[in-house]
Amino acid sequence: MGLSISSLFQRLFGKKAVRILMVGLDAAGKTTILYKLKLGEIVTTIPTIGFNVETVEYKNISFTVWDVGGQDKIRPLWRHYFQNTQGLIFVVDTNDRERIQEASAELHKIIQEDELKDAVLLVFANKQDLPNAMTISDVTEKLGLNSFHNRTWYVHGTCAVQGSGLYEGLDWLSGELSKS
Amino acid sequence: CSKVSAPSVGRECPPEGPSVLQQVLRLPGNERCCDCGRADPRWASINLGITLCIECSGIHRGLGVHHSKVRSLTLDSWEPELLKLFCALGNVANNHIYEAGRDVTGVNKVTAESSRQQKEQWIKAKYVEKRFLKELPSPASCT
Repeated sequence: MGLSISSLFQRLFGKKAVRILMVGLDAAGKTTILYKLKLGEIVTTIPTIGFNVETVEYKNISFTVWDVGGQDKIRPLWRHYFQNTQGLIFVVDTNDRERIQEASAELHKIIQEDELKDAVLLVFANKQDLPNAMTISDVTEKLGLNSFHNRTWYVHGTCAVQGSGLYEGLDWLSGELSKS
Repeated sequence: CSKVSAPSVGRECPPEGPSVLQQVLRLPGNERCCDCGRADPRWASINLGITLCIECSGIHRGLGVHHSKVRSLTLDSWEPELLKLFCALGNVANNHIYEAGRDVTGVNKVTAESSRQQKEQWIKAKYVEKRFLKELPSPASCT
């Protein structure tokens, strides 16, 4: 009856460690979100080829967040990051109305994956500051979130470049993940 | 296979004929970033019809898709129609419009060696504020 590494870590440091995968179409704002959470500041970004990974400490949880590039042809690489993922963050550019269906298709594709069946889903409806941004209820409908019956999910509006909404999302994640 | 395949990741569709990258870079002026002039661009703005280096593509992404829609010339799939339209535009045609009035303003174009901040200012002035468009002759001067 040995302790697992993560529960040992938790007993020693009082912190629960969780693995978060952050995906979404290219230019949704994933890298900006990652570094806003990590550093508290806006970094200048270039398109992510491959991935970024950072550990973010928040509310007694140590989130290891994997941010994976979103260009069309590298999306098949996402599945290599699925294993042991407890929380999935899906980032959407709410200003990009032309590609919301494409975003929805990608979300529905990955949510069916067996390796993600127990992962909770947090949707960041990003770029809410832009003039043509869709509302949260619009995004909920267009992503078909209400069709996810056996999934714990939550959608929150964000503006990564101002930092708004991000911690509300993490609050929800920490609440859900500390239940398990 | 309805999509044109890029050379590096040709999994399902083996490339038939020249790749997207080859076709786009073949256009005179497209072999350098439209905004800073860096050689060998691998990115593009599909609504502006221009090629970009990765750094300028990062700046364009920050403008929002209502100003610029950025795609990779190698990591994204391109519909044949989009490619056709793209090849009818290009950096020369774009700069002929968006930089037509630059001389009058006295503003120097950025180079590959300029700082990120300088490039951001340049790109915003050029595409968001549209500061370097040539003014059309006013109706009064036509009389």
